[in-house]
Amino acid sequence: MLDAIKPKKSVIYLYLLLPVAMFVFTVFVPLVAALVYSFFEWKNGPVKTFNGLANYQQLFADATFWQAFGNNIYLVVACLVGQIGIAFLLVLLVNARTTKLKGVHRTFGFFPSTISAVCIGMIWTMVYHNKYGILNWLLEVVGLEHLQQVWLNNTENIMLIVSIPLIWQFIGYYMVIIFSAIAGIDSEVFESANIDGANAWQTAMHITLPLIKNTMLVCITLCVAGNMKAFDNIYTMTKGGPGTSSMVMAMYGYKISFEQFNLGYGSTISVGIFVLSLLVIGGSQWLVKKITAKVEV
Amino acid sequence: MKINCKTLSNILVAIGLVLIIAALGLAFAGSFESYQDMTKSFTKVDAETGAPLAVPTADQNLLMGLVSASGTMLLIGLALIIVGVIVRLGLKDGVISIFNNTVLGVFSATCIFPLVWMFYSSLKEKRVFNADIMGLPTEPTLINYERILGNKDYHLAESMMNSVRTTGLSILMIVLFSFVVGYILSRVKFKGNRPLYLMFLMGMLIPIHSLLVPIYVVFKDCGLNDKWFTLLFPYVSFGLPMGIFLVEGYVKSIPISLEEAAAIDGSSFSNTMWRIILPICKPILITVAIIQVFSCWNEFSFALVLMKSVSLQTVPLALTQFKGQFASDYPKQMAAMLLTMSPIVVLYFVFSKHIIKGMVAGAVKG
Repeated sequence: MLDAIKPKKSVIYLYLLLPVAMFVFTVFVPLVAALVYSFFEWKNGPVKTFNGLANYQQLFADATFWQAFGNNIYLVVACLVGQIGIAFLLVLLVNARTTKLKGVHRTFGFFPSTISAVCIGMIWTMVYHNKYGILNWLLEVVGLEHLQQVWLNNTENIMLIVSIPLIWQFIGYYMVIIFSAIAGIDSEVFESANIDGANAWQTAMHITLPLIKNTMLVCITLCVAGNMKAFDNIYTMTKGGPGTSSMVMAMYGYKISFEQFNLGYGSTISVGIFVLSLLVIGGSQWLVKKITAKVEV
Repeated sequence: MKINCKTLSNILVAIGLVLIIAALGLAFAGSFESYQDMTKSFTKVDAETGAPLAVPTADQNLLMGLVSASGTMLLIGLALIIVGVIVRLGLKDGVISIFNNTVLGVFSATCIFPLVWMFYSSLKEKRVFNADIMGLPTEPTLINYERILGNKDYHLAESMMNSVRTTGLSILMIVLFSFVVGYILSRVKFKGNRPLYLMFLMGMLIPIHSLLVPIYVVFKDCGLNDKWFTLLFPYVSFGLPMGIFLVEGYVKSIPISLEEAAAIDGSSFSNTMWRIILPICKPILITVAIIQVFSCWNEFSFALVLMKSVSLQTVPLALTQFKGQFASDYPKQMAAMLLTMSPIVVLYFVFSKHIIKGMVAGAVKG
């Protein structure tokens, strides 16, 4: 009878064996392997030669890698403002008394986030196409033909151009998360704010936002983590081009490892992505907590 | 008086909506592009005599009339709706309401429009599409779908089978493993409990894209690359941590007296877990499954790195190759996308409430 509440160890281990083994093999073994191989010169052949810190020296001096890192940061900032900012504003509109079709907006708005990044990338490649794209068509209809161009070849603004699909895809996702957080707030809070004469904007900034602080923190973490790993969209739309102007870290690691077959240096980049991503995610959380702590005082 | 106001506003809005829908219908029937071309050609005049160079035929006249009529109807319709709303709500609230609903309407429209555009454009031939990218198909055809499904070299149908298999098996394993590990970590005290918990917690924090290259290397050494089961490893492993935490949190809310009572009745540990706890956990396991269906079906980067055989490709991989092959044939690309998206789209619109709820719960709690 005691066995039922406190089962034998062998039973427990038997149950845990397969999942734990699979998890360790797929996550931790490669992590250690990457660390090891990052100290080797290895060009996809059987020959691996230990070359100490040479790969890391190369990484620190690699302008393309740091450009890619900068582009990741660009995406993070653009999406924090674009996705979470716009989502918050749209939720305020959805929550307004006279808004109709709330359910439709939620269903439609959330829809793009369920589609694969590859499809989104393909759709936006069509939108941006110089001859058959919706964007150039729209410019012609409203009479702004002089702005028409081959959008995905615009080296200067390419990061803005590739981040718009990304922002657009996930606005609805954050909208729904923020919406459900606001729905959880006691409606008396808003009523008393209304009686005290707070206008909609004051209510949003000084009452709603502080009350959903934790949800916003979750959104920010998701957004930062999501954009540090940006790959699918970029691969489908530009593959990092033109040149290296829209390169992101995962894309660069992929190119070095599978197009130049430099697996040793590719492993070093992987370690770099690992460390930098953790730093940025941790740093952003620390920053947000510090800012919100100040606001409370 | 109040009722009159309401009725008046309803009538105005209704007429406005009918006018707008009719106007859009006419505009699409008239087709923007040909209208623009026509107006351009008929405004040209002979430099010497001042006589028009081309005279519109009766059909063309009708078409141009329809399009300009639709423009007028659109404006009148919009005006009627605005007046209707203001009559109902007063000036200030009316304007706010119009602003809110317009902004949200435009946003929702941009979210759903690509799907609609892709659907009707996939029914056009390439030639027709290139001549007019926005117009409705004049002679709808299924030729793109026939070509895609009829040609085995495209591997789209095959890739869908692969995706169904990979996604299905991954979900099954994630749900099963999450349940077992989550339940044990939450209820059974043993030495490895905390370390295992921390290990899975770390698994959630690890930026998985830094594993792209290393997983390829390790799998290659073990001969695991490019097999039908290869992708199960990353998909299950990356899905496990969130599943485990959702289950673990859920099991904590179940009173332990339930299991004690079962034990007194002579139920063994395994029997209690499978027969009593599993049914109770059904809602959270469905949530786990919902989240993972989308991430497994849509996953691209690991499939790209680990799979080489064309016959084992999953959907996103097949689509990128298709894109490369038919870079300029948009209707064909659209047909391929719609075909491979269809299971997800149908699933989403049928169960959208559950899906949205599940995804949000997963995001916030995980």
